[in-house]
Amino acid sequence: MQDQSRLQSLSGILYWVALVLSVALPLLVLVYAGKWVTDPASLLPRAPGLPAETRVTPTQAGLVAAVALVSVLPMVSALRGMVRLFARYREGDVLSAENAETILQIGRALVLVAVFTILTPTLQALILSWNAPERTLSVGLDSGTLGFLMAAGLMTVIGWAMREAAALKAENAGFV
Amino acid sequence: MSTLQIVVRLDVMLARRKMRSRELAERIGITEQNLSLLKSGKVKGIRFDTLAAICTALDCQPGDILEAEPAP
Repeated sequence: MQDQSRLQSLSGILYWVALVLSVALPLLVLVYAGKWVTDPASLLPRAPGLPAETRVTPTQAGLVAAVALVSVLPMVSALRGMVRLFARYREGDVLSAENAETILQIGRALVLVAVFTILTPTLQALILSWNAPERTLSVGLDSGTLGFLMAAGLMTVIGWAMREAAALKAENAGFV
Repeated sequence: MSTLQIVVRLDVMLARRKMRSRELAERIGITEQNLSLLKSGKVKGIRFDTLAAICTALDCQPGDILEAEPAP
């Protein structure tokens, strides 16, 4: 089947992309976290609303780095789910209950990514403004985050639909 | 009212026609494994085209292969 071979070949490429990203992303955040902890002043550009003379303590830098490390976990979870999904797609295993559950897991992880996209800058700005004369608390919701939420919702619905399709396939397999 | 269950009498028709399972499986284009499952009744159902192929190969009617009997 042409559609199946197309699905398998593209999944083969996406498998490697997801695998590389699932390793590179946490490493990149770790590098940034290390840089922030060793040089707290490098964090100031992350909170443009703060006065330039604001002093960032190592504790604040550590907290900002910790928030960044925690906030990357849902994305890593989504990418690990994609690695598993694309590995099965690449082998030609398309309509299975395992795939449906993996898609649902990716959808849930993407919802968390969107939530963290909103909360992380807010928390980091709050931590960085702790010693400033005026504390800053800004919550932002842009079109990108909304798009992420929509994509996460779509993935969840597709996961449910895949679950139905896998059940139908299993039932069909019982017919000779 | 007692419920009925459908049983497959394929082995009876195969014996009457002196045909082996392997030959029937080849003629109707399904695997011997699936034919064995069908004979033992370990399938959820049978497709109309499979039934038609079996009836053509064994020169019989669906009623010669399928039978309803009281469920235990």
